[in-house]
Amino acid sequence: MPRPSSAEQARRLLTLIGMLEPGTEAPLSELAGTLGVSASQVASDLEMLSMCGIAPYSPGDLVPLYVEGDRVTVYGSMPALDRRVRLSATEARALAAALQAAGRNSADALVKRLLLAASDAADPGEIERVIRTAAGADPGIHATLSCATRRSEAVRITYQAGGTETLAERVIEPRALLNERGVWYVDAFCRTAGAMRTFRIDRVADATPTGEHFEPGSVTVPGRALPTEGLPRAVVHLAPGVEVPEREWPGLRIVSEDASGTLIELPYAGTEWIARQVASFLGAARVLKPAEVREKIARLAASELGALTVR
Amino acid sequence: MVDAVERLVNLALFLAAARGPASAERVRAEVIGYPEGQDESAFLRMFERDKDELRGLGLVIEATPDGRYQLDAERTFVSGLDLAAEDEAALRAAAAVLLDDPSFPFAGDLRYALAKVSGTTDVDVPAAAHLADEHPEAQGETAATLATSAAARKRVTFVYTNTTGQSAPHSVEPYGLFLHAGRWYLVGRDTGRDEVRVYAVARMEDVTPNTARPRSADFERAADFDVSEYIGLPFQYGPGEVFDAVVRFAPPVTWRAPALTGGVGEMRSGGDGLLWHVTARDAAGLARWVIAHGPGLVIESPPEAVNLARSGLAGVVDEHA
Repeated sequence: MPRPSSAEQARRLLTLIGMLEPGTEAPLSELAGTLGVSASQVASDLEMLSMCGIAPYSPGDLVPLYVEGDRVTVYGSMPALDRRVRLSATEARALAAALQAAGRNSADALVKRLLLAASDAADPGEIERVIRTAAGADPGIHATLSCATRRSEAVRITYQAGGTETLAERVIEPRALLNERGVWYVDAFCRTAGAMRTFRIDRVADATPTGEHFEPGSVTVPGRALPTEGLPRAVVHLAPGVEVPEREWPGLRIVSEDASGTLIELPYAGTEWIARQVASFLGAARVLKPAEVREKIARLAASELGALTVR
Repeated sequence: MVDAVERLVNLALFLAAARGPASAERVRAEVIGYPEGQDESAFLRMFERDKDELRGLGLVIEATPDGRYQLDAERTFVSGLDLAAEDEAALRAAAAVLLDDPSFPFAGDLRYALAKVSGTTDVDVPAAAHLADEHPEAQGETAATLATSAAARKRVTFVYTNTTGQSAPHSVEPYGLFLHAGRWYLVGRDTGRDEVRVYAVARMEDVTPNTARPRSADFERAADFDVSEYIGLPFQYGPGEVFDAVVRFAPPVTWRAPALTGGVGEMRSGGDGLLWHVTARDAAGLARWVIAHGPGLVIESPPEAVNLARSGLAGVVDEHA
């Protein structure tokens, strides 16, 4: 059997055959980007491909291409395999798993269509019973926001901000999409707030393109959906034995740790978020300062207590 | 000597170009790459391996009753897949973005899938993904190994460190994988304990698939296995006894219930809002989860969880007054 790297190279070569139509003149960098390898590797692949063909292996029976400088030229028709090969079982699994992460399951029309292009061995229902990536975002809203981001088109959204029960309408100019821990966010200029904001897509109840286009300027995809640099910090005490929620509380810093408990500094963008987080510890977490956070926690806990009491 | 890669490509081209079935002898005579002077049995073994390799790449190669071979063009090639611009954009924004996420275990296969269905893997939307947040590369690599073993039905062994810090070796029949809150999890039957368990991939070390008899499965998975049945919420794990709980979603937030609950439990309409019937093992954990995901969520039962929430919240008020 060919070595794994040989099998991978054969896979690239067969994929290239399907991509190279007669008359193609393409930069090697473009093919390299699509295949995830270097331009020199693609050049080497194409050189090998140009020596492949069918009997009697006369010039007219070989793959008709040549590489000159940083470009490939296809000067004729492929001797065979000039149609796209179906997705293998593992390719179908990868595609289905990726689309699940945008909320598209096996019943989704796009997934069904794409997996019709898969080999018999790929069963979308079976894939879903064995692999699940995080889901949650409405695929239609994700698609609307990704299309609007690509077209630099403003979108009217109804959004439930963290800590509120009510939906509010906003017009946003989406700049970038970000998936963090399986949750999708859209980074956008919010016309309503007059500032950049990050919105959780699963809190967007509705999204409608406005038809208005904006100048995106230079867009940098944020490294994290919720950056903590420059945010105010609260000092929080965790009771002895309470596990420090490092994954749930981004940017926290442990100040001290002893028998009396753990003292941490926790960045917060809004008092609603930190109040709800601390209150959820049911007394095992206590904010020492600032006062505005302490007051917010007391009000929020009283409100939640009231909701329990009036039942 | 012709490279093995060149031989495979030549064989694929030969089978695609052949009019009608071809015998092994004809393959040997017409496909450049099979060594001259190779004895019959060595050639047949090499040809067999090459066919398997091409099948793995999506080519459907059939044997005819008289022992010849042909490509089933209908089952090999895609037809009629012309994506609309909107579908193309949705596909690229949703899927291509995962190519650069080291915690996505199927990036290599995804790249070829996108090249086949879309002709490009470019993401024309500013986007990024970080599905897993802890050691994303290690989680991605381990999840890929486990997914391959699950597909081939091969046992794996690993050392697992549990939440109390104790490490022990495990031998597991991998059934499926899921991603939840930034972590990959394996669901499989632990052969030592003879029960199906859930393991956090980030807590595994020395993951080793069984390489003995690679062409035969070590186990069979139940036909009705569904990995989603094992995706739980934090309060559903732990040593406690299972109990039934009911949480009310007030009308303003009912629309978020499917996303928040992830399909776990059962939603019933109940007067004012939705009643979520769900099992739990940890009453305090349930109370914590409900408060953290509010407002608009209220525990209705069991009384133990309601009382825990009530006394805990009263303490929070006192501590911050």
